[in-house]
Amino acid sequence: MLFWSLVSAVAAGLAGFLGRKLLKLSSVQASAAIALLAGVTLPQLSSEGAYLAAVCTCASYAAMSSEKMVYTPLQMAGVSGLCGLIAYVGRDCLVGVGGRLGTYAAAAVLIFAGGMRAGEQLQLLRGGSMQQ
Amino acid sequence: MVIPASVAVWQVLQQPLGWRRGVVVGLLALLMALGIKDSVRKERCAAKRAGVMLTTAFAAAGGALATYVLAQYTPLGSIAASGVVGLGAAYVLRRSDLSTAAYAGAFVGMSSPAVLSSLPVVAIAGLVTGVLYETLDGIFDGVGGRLGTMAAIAVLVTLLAAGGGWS
Repeated sequence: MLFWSLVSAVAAGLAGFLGRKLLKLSSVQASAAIALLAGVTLPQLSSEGAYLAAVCTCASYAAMSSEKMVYTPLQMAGVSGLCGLIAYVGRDCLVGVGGRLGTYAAAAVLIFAGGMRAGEQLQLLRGGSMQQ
Repeated sequence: MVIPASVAVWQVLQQPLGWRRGVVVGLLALLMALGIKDSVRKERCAAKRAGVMLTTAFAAAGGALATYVLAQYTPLGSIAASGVVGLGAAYVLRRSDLSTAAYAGAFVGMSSPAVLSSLPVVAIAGLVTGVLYETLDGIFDGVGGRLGTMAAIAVLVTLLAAGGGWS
């Protein structure tokens, strides 16, 4: 279940990212198109389809991030994977509350931004110690 | 952000967590705090004209009502309904800046009837989302999921104001 959650999240996140880059869709168009496609097709495919559609939608919200925040497909895949993980862990939280998936997406993007910041600080520290 | 995050964290902590999962959750929370510090804009939001705020609030309420009706009275389901409303808003409102606000409202309309039980309550939550959208303009700009977080705040605040709660 976690595996398929991660796979569907990464696929949806990359689709949203590439849709905005290559097809020049607006963030709303890209996210809404993925939500519609996932919401119509995935529930028909398996019993877990409704959950996976929610995961895809969550990742599509993360793909609405600006280019300053997430600027490469690899970064988008990382953020989407985090979305899949958070959606899996929080599948029993805030059930029925609209905006729940967006909150998970925002958490994933902010964790990613924090990770990038921490990585930069570590590199600076390492560079400083190398010079000494 | 703090309101839905607190409720979600409280509900996660209600589940039995081993020390390993506890460490992972703690580490992710630490990174998120760093991300919030890095992403939040320090400047105050510009004061909005009442007309702009009202128009945005109505766009969000419209998005919320349309999604709720599609989700509850057609076989689409809430996710596909939000997609239909988002695409419709992006097409109909493409000349204005209101499609994003309508899409934020669509997230409110994804609520289950057990949480938002009637159309007037959905409309009120949608209006609150529109007001939040304009009030928080410039804060956490570019962070994906920002609109959904606003919607979650609006739903939870509306529930509290209506004297309801969540389990």
